[in-house]
Amino acid sequence: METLTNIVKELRTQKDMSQGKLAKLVGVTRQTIISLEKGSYVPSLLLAMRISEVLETPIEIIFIKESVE
Amino acid sequence: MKKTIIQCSGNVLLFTLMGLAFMFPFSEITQMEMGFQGSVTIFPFLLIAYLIVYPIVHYILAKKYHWGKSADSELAYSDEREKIIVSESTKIAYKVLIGGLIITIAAIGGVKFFSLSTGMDISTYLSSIALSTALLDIATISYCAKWCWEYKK
Repeated sequence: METLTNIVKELRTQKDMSQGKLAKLVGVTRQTIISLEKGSYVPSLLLAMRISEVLETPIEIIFIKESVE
Repeated sequence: MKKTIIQCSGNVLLFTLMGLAFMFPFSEITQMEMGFQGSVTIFPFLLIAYLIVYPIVHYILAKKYHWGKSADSELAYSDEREKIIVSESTKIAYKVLIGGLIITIAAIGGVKFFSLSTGMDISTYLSSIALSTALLDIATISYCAKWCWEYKK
C-alpha cells in the first residue's frame, strides 16, 4: 500500500507560522491542516500546490510517496 | 462539529415530536353523526412550539458561533476535507435510510399479516409511523456519528 507523508509541520514551524494562519492562507480549516500534518488526510493537488506556494518549497519536497507493508 | 451535532440533535427531536404528534394526536375520539369529537394531546402543541422555537434558537446559535456559508467553519463548503466528510456521512445515512426502508416495508407487511393471522388488533398506521420515525432518527444519528468520526480523524 502506498501513502503520502509530508513535512508541512517542519516547514511551517521554520517559518514561525501557526496552523490557523496556514489554513487561512491556503483556504481550508485549521482542522484540515491538523489532519494533514498527522498524515491522516491526503490533500488534493490544488491544496498541495497552494501549500507549496505558501511554504515556498517545491511540492515534491513537501510530499513524499512511501510504500507501507 | 458543534454545528453538526446541534443540527442533528434538532432534527432527531423534530422527527420524534412529529412521530408522536402523528401517532397520538387525540387522547379520546368520539365518533359523531357528522365528523368526530376528540381531546387533543400535548404532542401536536409540542410540535408547533418546537417549530416556532427551533428557527429562533438556530438563528441565535448561528449568530453566536458565526455560522455562515462564507465562513471558514463547519459545512462551509470552502474546505475540501469537509466536502469529503459530508459526502461520506451522506453515503452512510443514505445506506441506512434505504436499507431501513426495505426492512420497514417488510415489517409493516409482517405486522398486517400477524394481525390478520392472530386476530390481534395491531394498528398498521401506528406501527408505520413508529417505524418511519425510528428510521429517520437512526439515519440522522448515523450521519452525525460518521461526520464526527471523520472530522476527528
